[in-house]
Amino acid sequence: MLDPIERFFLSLEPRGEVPELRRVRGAIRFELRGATTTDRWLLGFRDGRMRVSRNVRQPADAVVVTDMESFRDAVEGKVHLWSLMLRGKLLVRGRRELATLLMARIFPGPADVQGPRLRGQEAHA
Amino acid sequence: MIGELRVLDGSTFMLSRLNGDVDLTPDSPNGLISLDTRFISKWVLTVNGQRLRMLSVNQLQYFHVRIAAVPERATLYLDTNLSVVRSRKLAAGCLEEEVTLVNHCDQPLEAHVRLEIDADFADLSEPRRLIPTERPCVRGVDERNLYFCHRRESFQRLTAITSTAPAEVDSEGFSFVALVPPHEEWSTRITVRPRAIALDGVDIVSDLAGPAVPEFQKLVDLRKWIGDAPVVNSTPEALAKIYQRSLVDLAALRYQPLMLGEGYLIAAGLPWFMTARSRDSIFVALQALPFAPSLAMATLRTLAISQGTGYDDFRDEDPGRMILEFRYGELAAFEERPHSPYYGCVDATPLFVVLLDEYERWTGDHELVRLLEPEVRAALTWIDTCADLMGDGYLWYETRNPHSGLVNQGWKDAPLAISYHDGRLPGFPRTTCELQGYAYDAKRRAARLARLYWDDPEYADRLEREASELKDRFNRDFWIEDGEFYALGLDGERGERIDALASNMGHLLWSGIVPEDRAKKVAGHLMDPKLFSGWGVRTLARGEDRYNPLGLHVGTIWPFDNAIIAWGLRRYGFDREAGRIAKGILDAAEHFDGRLPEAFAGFDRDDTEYPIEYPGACSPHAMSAGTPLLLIRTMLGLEPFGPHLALRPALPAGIGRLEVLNIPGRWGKRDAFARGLLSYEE
Repeated sequence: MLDPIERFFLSLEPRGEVPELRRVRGAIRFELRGATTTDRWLLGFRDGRMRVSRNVRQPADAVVVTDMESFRDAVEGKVHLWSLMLRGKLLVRGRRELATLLMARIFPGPADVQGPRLRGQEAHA
Repeated sequence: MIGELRVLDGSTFMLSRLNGDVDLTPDSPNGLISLDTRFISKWVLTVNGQRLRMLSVNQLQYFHVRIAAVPERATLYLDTNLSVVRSRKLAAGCLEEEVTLVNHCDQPLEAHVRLEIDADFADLSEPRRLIPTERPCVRGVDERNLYFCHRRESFQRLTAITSTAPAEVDSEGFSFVALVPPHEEWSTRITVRPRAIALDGVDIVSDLAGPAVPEFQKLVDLRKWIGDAPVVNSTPEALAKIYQRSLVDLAALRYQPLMLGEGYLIAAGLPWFMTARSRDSIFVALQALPFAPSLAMATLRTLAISQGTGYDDFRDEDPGRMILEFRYGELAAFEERPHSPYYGCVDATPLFVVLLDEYERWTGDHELVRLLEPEVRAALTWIDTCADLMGDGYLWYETRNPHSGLVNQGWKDAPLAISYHDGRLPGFPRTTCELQGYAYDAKRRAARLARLYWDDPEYADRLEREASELKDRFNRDFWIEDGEFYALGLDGERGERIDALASNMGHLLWSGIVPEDRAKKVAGHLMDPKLFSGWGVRTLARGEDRYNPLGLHVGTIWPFDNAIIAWGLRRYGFDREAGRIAKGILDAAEHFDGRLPEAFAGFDRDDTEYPIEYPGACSPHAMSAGTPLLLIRTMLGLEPFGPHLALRPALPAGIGRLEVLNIPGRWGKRDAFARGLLSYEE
């Protein structure tokens, strides 16, 4: 079974074009620290599409550093990256606004959501 | 009482008493605050055991103040032989205070100088409800330094204080023995550095609050900011001075959080809202378009990168919805408050579209319009789907976070701000009238952009059709026939109109959703003594059950609200009425030394002669600092028409001459002049 982190990164390319990412071009490296190793994922964007590669040595415009456990919580929607950053568990270097964009664009929200309570149907029934 | 003395640098500030001391009262926001966190909560200077009495305060720059003081016991009959100067600066990410003792006699003096210091690391992000919480704090002392450190799990905030002069440092402050030769001085510089420590010991203050800018650079930036803005001259001169003050206050509130991009944002208001708030940023950007269009660009970009994409009930997030604000304190970090970021507002989403269009009309920046097409489409989709909670074509709100979400999600967001005429509180979902006006305007403006820049005439047609249907529907459902005014809002639960008379309908004129024949009625209500105090339009009319001249959203007067209303009145040709509001607000500004607070009391002008302060109002407040700018635009009738800048002045009596030089825009730079009457008998 795939680890949630792998599943998350591997889900990005198949998303195809994300219109809001069209205007950014660059690459972010995620450095995820485990007990003994550091896992590195490189996420490139160009023309609204994402490209993911693992453990390659390539320059990035921004680097996000955090621990594996926190990042797993983030990809499972248990915690927001912004909260992790405020707590000192996540560090962004380089073009930090790219990370902010991604926080909103590609990270999943919480798993159990109600969403807006639309009364439309009842109202018109 | 909010601190009387302030130094400010973007989202970081120090508030104190006039003598320079910080000592807390339970609800006081005094201290050194950055990242919504109080890094210094006590800062009391004594000389030979005596506190200081302020003699004069000189605000040299917004980030630099100098206090001249003497030990308390000196009186008219007891000359002091010693005076103290405290020079306080916020620069390079630090608070620097230089304390100088001056010996005025011909004998050497030995003085015991003591600075008592504490840090409570309180979170100031919860507006107007400072909860005193004991936070664990470790103190550290070495030869020249004192540290306070608050830790909760990995969250770490640290205050590091150091002195240039040798001192005895203990866990509660610094003690100096100052030996001052006759007619000479002794001084020390104490530096406080607030730090937010993340993994690997990295300080992330600049990520969140902006890079540390040294003093000389700040002065250069300030000169450039003022130099780039148009010059305003007026008779009487007061208006030009108010404008100047506004520009400097906006400069003071600028900050550059690296996490949100590269441009300057404006912190919303000192002390409660020292953060990027969408609504405030949008209104300030709109107000400042003829003067500092760069603010609009930074605001639009920032909102675009943080637009919602998924659903999050805790944060009231939906796809396409714009944020309300980011916060940086402990409550946000541990998700005890939803502001990391929080999306609980409904006005920012349509207003984002309005700002983009208005920005393009002024600057001709097609590039940004093309770039932000996906965000505008997502915003408009949100208006039609997630925000239409009743399925009837209106924008509604209802928080999904019952513990810490906002009950009201328009600009009047106090919990009791929206009520019926008889004071009852409406149920949910709930909505207010001006939100429908914003949605109408957003659709019409987006239609223009779709036609001109996105090559999508079908989308444009659809948006225009929807806007026109919304206008009809709105005028059917919100109009109260008996009183001939627009309902404050709708109560989705009871299916009733919220029948209070309030300032909100003034915004409808700005949005253009009011048919000509009704505009006269609306203008009449706005200028009626129930709403118009003589200084400005009250948030809620006298005679409404919850009216309170000192109620934040239920009776006080908000300068920004009035500027939007005046703009709307001119749009419908009510020049005289717009002028009365402009003049009233500018007269009030004079009483506040040119600096309009967030809000002031709704008492009748004839009763009080002076505008009465609202206790606890933010000041400086970004939207209030922007207000004189929009009033100038409104009085001059500045309006872009294609590549030209049109001018249709209507100055109120009392302003004899108004000129604005070097107005930037797609026309390059243009000047605008107008003449009026200094006085006349009505």
